[in-house]
Amino acid sequence: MANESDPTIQSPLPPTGPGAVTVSFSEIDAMGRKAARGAGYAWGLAEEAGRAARWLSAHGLPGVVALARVLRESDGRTGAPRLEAGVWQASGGALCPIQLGAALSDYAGGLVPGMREEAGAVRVPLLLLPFLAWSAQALRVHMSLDLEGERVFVSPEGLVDRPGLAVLMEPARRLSLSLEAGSGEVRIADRSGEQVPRAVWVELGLLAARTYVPASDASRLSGAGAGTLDND
Amino acid sequence: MTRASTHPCPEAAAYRRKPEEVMRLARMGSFHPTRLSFMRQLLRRLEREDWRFERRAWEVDESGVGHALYCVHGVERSYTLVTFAHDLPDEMRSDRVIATAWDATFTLFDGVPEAADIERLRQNVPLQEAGRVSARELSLSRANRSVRLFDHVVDRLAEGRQPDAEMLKTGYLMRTTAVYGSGKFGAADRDVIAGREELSGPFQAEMLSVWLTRAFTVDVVEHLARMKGGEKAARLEPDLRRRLGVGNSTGLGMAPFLVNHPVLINNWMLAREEALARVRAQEAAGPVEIAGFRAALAAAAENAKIWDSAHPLQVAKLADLRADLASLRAWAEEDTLFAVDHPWDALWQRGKALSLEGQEALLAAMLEPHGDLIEGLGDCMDADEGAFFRIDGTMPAGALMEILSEQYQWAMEIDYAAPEQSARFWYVSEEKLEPRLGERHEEDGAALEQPLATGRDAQALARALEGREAEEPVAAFLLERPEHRHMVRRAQIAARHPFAEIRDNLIGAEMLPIDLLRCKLSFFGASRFDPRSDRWVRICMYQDAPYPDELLAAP
Repeated sequence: MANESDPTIQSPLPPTGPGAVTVSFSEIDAMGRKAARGAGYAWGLAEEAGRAARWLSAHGLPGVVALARVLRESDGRTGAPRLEAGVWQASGGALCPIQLGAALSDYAGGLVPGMREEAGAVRVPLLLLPFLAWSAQALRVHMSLDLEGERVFVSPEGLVDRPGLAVLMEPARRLSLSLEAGSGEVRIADRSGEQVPRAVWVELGLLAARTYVPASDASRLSGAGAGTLDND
Repeated sequence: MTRASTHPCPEAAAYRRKPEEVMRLARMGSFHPTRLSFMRQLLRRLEREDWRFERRAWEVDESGVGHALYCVHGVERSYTLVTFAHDLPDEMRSDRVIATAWDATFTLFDGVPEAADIERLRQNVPLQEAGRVSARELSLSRANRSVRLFDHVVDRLAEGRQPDAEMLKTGYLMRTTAVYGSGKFGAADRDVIAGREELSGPFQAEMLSVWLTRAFTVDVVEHLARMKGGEKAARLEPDLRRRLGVGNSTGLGMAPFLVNHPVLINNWMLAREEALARVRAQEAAGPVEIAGFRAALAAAAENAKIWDSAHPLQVAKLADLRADLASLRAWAEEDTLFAVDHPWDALWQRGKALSLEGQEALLAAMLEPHGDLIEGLGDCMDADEGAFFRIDGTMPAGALMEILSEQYQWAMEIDYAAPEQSARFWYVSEEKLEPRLGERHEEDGAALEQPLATGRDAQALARALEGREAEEPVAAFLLERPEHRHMVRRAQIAARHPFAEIRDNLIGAEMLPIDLLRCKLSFFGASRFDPRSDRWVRICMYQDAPYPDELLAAP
């Protein structure tokens, strides 16, 4: 656990209760993007990782914890999806939900009623939800994700129904996606910022720090532009 | 921008400038503030909606330490600039982001703060980046004194005299060195305020915060003069006071913004360009508009006269600007100028002989007398960036190639293998967590480059697409080549937002970051651009604008 002066964190963590920090959604977005990039993800995927964590937080779900759990074991290549006999699989190990989410979103436009996208084992399926919601919204379709019998439903308006967090945070052995509508109302969370375990925020901060360039004497002078006197 | 398609001026379409003409750094670095600038939009709204203003607290001691509350009350909501005044030793004063103490620190509070809020903020706001604010706060900022002028004004007022007009050429008593908004350091996310009519436009919370900061800078000077001079101390004469804005020092931290927000910048540019096209499309010029145009040119010429910079680049540009404004003022007196068909367009065509500074000054002056025609465009300058984030994976590779050849032709012609064309790299410094610019062939760290090399990445994407089946969906390509995902998103955005991309090499040896800064700051409404190097610039905000107690009545 880093101390308060840890240079890898944006600013000292606020005293919002034991072991927790309150961060804004835009801080989650930025931290998620930088941490994923620091973990080794391509910039485009890292952007999606940040947005996904933010989307989950804005919907009252533990996006930051979920992302940290994925980044702990992934460098942006392991867990990459590829199609094997029509089923999304990772070569060795479980699928990374960020890379799978991006692929499912990219291929979602090709889904037709009665057809399914099938995938093998995937880690932290919670992180798939934003990708499904974005696809449902863009394509104006209803979608259903089946996680070994537990169902997630999204509509063009947003998240309709989902199983408990225990199911979504743990690896799923297989899943399938289809254009199927669930019943029920869209769940809307109304909040600003999320309380995140301090240790998790620091963990992401350490990954983000891998994207920073250490200063040298030369860069201190020129990186921001040497200039004339600024106290006049 | 869908709302613009319902505009009341369809004939303007024929007069629009093309992105390849507008989205060039040299031109963007010559932009001037206009009627559509965000400061102007804010003040128009406050006045139109009859907002109220009060300085709710002034608890500043004789040494200038304490706090003050500046409140504005709108139709539905109130906002308060919570100000902390400090006594800063001279040797600690620095505008650089590396500073750790300031003459004054500020936050814009959402509502009217209670005593407990003020105490919480007192523990955090003076620390700036090292503190935390909450979702009740909409901005975080700080300002330093412009020492020579500040001391001069305090001394003169204390003696019961007015300051030297010559000294006031500095333009401001204090300058802000960072104004953070949108969720930074724990502040409220943009989502919190995006649905509020008064803050839905770009940077309206930040602009409000700076406007109220300006009032503080004068109040604290008059307060210190009173402490020093007692009964005989004078207050600033209103016309001298008007001439004072708020300064600002801005560096590289702001530069990547325009690149990182392509939809937003498209909407800003499109509104500005549409405004110009509407004016050019007018068949005739009315006497009120002609008089307004002449007055705008006179004001621009006056501003150019006192606009001071020691930077060689800006010195040359200022010489061009002054000469061009003199030409324009002479043209504006010609009897025949406005007697022709479509006189504004004729003027615009004639203005093409001017320097870029002159052309863009002409644009600002042409917009000035056409408020009714163009102000509605201000409503089109925000953006729902999330709506364009998702990649369309069904797009065929051939269609993506077409986008690249249409929107990124400029990038396909650059030889990025040549050292001078890839001389720089953008990075985030570990020390300050701020964007910086490095020399790729001389410094370490290029492996940690930020994705701001738009042209190079577009070219690389085009190369990667060569030889692939034209019908292959982008989804399949990205599965194999995830490293192009960032650029595919940009290209798909650019296809629908023609002003989204700066059409210049952002990593070339000749690139001037101050061009990016000036473009953005002109949209804010800043003036008096004074580059202090190729990477940071001083500006003035709200110069000659009314103060809160002048524009708004008391509650």
